[in-house]
Amino acid sequence: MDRSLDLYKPDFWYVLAVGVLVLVPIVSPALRKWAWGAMNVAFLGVLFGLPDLRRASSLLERHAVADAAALVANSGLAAVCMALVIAWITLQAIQWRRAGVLPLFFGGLTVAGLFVIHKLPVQTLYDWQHLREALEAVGLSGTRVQPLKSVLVTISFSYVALRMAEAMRLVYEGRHPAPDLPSTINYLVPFHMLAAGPIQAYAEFVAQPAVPERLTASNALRGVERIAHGLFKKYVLATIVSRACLTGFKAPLPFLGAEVLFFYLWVYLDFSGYSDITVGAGRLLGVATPENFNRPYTARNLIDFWDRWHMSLSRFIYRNLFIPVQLTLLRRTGPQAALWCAGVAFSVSFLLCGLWHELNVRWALWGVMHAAGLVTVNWYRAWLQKTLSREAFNRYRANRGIRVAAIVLTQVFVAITLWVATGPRE
Amino acid sequence: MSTPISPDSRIPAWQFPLRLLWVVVQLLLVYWLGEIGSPFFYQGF
Repeated sequence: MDRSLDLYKPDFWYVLAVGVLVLVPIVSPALRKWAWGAMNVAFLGVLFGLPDLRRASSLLERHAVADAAALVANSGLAAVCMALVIAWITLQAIQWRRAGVLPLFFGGLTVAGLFVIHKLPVQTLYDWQHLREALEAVGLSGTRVQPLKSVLVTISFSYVALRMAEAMRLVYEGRHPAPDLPSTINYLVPFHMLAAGPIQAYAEFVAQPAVPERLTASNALRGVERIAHGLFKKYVLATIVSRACLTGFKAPLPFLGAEVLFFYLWVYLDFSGYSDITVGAGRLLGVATPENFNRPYTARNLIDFWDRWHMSLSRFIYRNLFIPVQLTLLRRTGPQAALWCAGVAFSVSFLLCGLWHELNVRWALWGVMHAAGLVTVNWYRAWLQKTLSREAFNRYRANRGIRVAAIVLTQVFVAITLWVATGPRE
Repeated sequence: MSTPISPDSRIPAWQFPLRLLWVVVQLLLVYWLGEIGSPFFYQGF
């Protein structure tokens, strides 16, 4: 059952091909929504259910109906389908004003709890007495946590959790109505974004046309080009970098610096390759899929970098953490403390962003380093704008030498933080 | 920003086969040279 999304196995491509063939001709919004939902559930079925269904079928052949039903009910697919229905009911309950803040509270608590189970090793979960007692109180003994973790890993719950958190917030604030069941499925677990995002903004999901424009030959080619380009980046370029330049940070000191930079390049090729595949697949399917990268290697400072790297995550953080924290502080302090408020907002946002990656000290340190870098850039920019005239500031921005130095400094800083977070554990 | 789903400008007819050929070349390189089977880095998070 512990299977992650395998783009290198045929399953994904079969479902994509069927998705294009089924979705593209459908012009009825309601039918298309249900067809897309069925496609996403079918893909979950491919990920979880086929071995179970085969065993259930052989049980049925032997007339063991009860055993077959129990097998299907206990499968990962059944668990995810039930969770999706609960998510839909939770969003409906959040919209129901009479229930007050309770559905939001319990929904948030459940998402946070599942996130902790997803992130922490089982042993760690059971080393903490209070956590162990809390898990046992909701019926999660040691034997039940491992299969639950395996389901969460298979659907990349980190990304699903962020989508659910944003939908809950926007529905609670009354900015968007709660989605119906197929839309809940399509927003939370779209099959082509299941492995590693991108994290689609709920507002963008709601705003996309119910039926996209007809797929033309030009657009189909553009979609196929993105997929081929992504596969090429991931499986050829990233492989070459990995084989030629990476040693798992075992290189002697003079070469370690170069390896840190090559590791950053490898992560870029790997992740932007994945993102290209999802964007290309989204274009073919007619499903809006956020871009994740915009030439991050040209970023001249960290603020610019986060506008270009893992954009769907940085925009999620901006909407859901940075702006709320900054506005709350500004209301208390007034505009004279704007830089301090931004500093606190950066710190809170990036500490949590680090912990979203992994719940450990190294990723927390990664978050602190990025927060410190962002605060420094913000203060430096404010200082430049205060001390230089507008013309001098523009000349500073346009200076080629400063630009190159700033880009190099930014890229080296990012590479070092990545090494801090993911370098050798021993 | 999401990928625009509405059709972009039409690809000129003379470019179409060349771009398709480049797609095929990339896919063949993936097939021959690619280290098929390694999961994505961000898949682990």
